[in-house]
Amino acid sequence: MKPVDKTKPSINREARAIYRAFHILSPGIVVAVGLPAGVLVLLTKGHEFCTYKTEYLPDFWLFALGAAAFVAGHYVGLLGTGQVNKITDDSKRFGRLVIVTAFLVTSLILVFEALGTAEIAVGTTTPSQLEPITYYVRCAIEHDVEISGLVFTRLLVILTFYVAGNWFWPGRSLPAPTEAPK
Amino acid sequence: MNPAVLDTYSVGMALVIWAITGIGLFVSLVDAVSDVNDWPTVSDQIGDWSLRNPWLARALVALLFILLAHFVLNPLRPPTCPCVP
Repeated sequence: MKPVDKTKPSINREARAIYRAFHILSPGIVVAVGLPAGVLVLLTKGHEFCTYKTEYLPDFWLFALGAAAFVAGHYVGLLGTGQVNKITDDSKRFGRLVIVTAFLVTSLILVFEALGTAEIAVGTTTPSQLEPITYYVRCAIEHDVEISGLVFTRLLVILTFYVAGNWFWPGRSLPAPTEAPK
Repeated sequence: MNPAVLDTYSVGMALVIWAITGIGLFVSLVDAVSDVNDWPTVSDQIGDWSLRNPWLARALVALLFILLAHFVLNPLRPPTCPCVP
């Protein structure tokens, strides 16, 4: 698809309004999903050992859902192009802070994923061994099938890959450098 | 696995979910406020970074898909069964 020049004033006002409404509603959507998900998990007791259950995984459709959400994130992002932002020295400083924070948090999450461990015993006679956090994630998916029928897992996959498509596959060109207002 | 450890699952997982929700709420609030004021949003800022560093952005996306595939497509089988906690 041909990239849209963000600096051109040809704003599709209706598309822009939809995109802005979505932005304004997004904090409510995050709370509406995250709060009840936590409450449901908290109230559901009696989880069983589930590390090597293979009843629900592998699930190709969860992967396909992520791919579809990634593409959707890119195309929904196109609605927001064409707007000329007020770029000031403060917004440039904020931009640098956003990038540093985003990558710091991402790095910490990936390090946690690599080092977070569970002590798992394989077989009745073998000693337990430390396994990466992947086992927690797979267990969480198994538990979510019991709690919500995989609804929250699907929502999390959609949200993560929608954001990735929206952020890392922007359908526009870089804005032209502008002078900060004096 | 010790039943006492399994009992902590609900509280621990709920806290993780709420922590992630908190991060998502903060980012979406900043995004909404920036959009209303016509300031560059978080999406704009990170999108600009992606345009300046396309190969790094592609590598990051590839890493995300590899992780997703590892979590949901991996046919994990223990070498010996029956498997016990």
